[in-house]
Amino acid sequence: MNTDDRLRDAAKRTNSSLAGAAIPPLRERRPSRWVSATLAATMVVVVVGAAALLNRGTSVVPTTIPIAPGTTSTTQPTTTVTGATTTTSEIASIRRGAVLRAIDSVLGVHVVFNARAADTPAQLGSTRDWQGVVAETSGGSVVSVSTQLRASDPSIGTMLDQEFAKETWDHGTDAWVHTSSGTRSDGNGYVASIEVVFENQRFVGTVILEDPELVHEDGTAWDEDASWVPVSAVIPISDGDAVAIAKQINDALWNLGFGADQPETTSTTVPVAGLLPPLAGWQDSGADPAVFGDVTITGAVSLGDTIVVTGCATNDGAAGGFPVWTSTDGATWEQASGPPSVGYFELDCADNLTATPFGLYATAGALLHSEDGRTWEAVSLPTPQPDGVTGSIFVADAVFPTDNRVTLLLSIAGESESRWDVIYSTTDGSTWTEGPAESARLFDSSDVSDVLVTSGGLIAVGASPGGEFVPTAAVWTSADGLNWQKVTDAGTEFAEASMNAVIETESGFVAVGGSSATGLIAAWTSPEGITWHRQPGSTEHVDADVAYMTATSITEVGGALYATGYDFDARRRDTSQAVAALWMSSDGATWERLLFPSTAIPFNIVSYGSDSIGFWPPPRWGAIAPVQVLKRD
Amino acid sequence: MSREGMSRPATDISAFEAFYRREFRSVLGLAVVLTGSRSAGEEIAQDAFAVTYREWARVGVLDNPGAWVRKVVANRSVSTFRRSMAEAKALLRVGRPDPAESAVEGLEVWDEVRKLPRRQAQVVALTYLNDLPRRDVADILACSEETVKTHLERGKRTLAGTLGQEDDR
Repeated sequence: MNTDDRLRDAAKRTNSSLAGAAIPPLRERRPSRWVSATLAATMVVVVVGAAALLNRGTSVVPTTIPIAPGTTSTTQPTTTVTGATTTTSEIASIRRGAVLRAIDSVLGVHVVFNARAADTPAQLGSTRDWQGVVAETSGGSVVSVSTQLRASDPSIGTMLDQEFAKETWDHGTDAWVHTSSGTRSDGNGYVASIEVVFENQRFVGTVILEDPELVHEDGTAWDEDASWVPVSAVIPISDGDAVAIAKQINDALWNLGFGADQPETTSTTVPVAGLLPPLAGWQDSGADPAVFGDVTITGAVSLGDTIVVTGCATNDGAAGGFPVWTSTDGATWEQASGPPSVGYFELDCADNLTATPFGLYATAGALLHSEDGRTWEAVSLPTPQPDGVTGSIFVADAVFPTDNRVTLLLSIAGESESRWDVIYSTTDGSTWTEGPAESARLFDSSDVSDVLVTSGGLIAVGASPGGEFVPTAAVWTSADGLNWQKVTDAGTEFAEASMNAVIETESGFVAVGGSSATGLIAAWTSPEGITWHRQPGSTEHVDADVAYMTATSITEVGGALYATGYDFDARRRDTSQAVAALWMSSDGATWERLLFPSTAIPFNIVSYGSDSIGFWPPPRWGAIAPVQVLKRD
Repeated sequence: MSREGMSRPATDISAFEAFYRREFRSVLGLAVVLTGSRSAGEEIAQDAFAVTYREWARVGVLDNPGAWVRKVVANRSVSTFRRSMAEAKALLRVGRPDPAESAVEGLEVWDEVRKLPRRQAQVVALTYLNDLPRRDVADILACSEETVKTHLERGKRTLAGTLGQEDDR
């Protein structure tokens, strides 16, 4: 076949295989899952998060994974366990034959997850029968159990999906059992996902097993040292109880005995569902989470005695109306009114809430304005048409106030690979005029993720292009919102990273984001907002080829900084590849992952009168959680 | 109503819907081929139509709205959607392309097409996959027909080598 024929043939095959593709209902692209263009507000400064409306999700968090293949870690095995309502990754040593236990503290269901090989350990490469068992020892609400197992190296092994069947055992418990055959061809590591579905929630565990060092030559022998397998995950469920998941790398797929040693681990309380106890010094305001529907709070401001918040519907949820709410006491909330849709698109995600001398502004597919926070309308704007730009699709990247001016940063996209930016501002709340083009040009093709309003001016953080799929973290500053300077360069402190959120602390500024080079969250500090330095960030283990983490919003409370974002791992089960994550820092420089958020930490803290309130979960939190309104004691 | 709000008179919607239904699969194909990922392609195609809808008052009256939406796709496949691309690549790396992927045939040829310089790859995909005349391709890529011809020839010359090698394997 010549080239022409090859191409025609490929086109024919591709087109016919897509001929039956479903035509999805058109919808405004929502921030990709829980990717956040964050809003964070402290008591003294209004922080305006910025979201490119059209490109939200992808453009706002331009985290990438380096394309160059990395090497498998042999020093520290990776174990990650995630859940729809719990998230953790904890390395622990578990003795060979450890029992896997889970106690669901809310449902009172005692689940033992246990899997074992049905025969004795065999040589690698052999095909063997094995059996996995999940035993339910109390309660009765487990609906189904399934596992998915695959080699971490796709060139070896195959993916195995197992549904477990329910059996009743002699000693009166229900067991979920699966028996199968599997071929173990290499000790390169496997990824196992476990999903236990309860009546009203789902537990998802993922164990990523990597440690070629543990593969013994004969595939069977264990010496005393080796019997401690540093490949495991522990999911503490409640005090004294834990799910432990362990794997012997030189054994069959699963080789965990029954009732043997307990995992050696500490356990903590895990929020399985429902409300979390507030962080010390805070109390629940008593607000009814149902008022907010399935949203996370993206911004909060106070306007006189009224608190106004914006929300963004969770991926699968609905805001249940216009996503803005008001309250005068933090406890009773009323839904604001506004346009139900923006043209074709339902309006269920508002962001960039900011209080200005001319009322409140927010973005939600349109620029929205309100005088009192209760009634909102879309704002008419002129159509920017910079020289040489033929596109006219524009989205609000950020809206922010200075003393007597409201400035809007618009991106123009659509017909070009690049995006142009235009600055518009108003000094009377009604007439918008175009700002300096040379300032706007500084933002071309960049993503502005967060704009901090400080007494000294504005600090915008985000990312500029650093090559295909590679962002460069960037900071821009302005005294008046019109004239901007880019204060960061493309040097090593900023290359292959993006900044997503910034906050002012007593000792200076802290920005967080993600590094596409390391796959870890990244952090920068600055004494005055102009000179920025990269800090260590977090030191988790991540295989940057297939996984990455990024921090997308930040809050300061109780003398500590908390950053939230997500943790994506392609090896996890389809439904759980990106999970919500939380980190804590005392200085903004080094960050520690909080595996299980056991308290509700206030984000978007806003002061009104002498009180402060904040909101949990964080903006665009990736786990289903009811909105908790927290009040300072 | 607001310009930013992009509200449309109700009468426009049915025309847009007809356009959307008619063009979606073909535009999806272009996005999949140019990104190499079904999931990223879906996202880009959807996004392109969302953009088109926003601009429908202007685009709907063009002679060829289909060229306009393809222009959006052709130009968006790389610079944005970093996240979905990153995820698609990560998934491929662990050997689990998204389930929809396997349903798309002919991807191995497009893999080679994507290795061409960007403009050449776009010209090849628009010409062969979407079966567009040179004039439309020129319109979409905002260049002359002569330029399209040059890109196509260069692209095919390279592909003759790379696809040929594939045959030899």
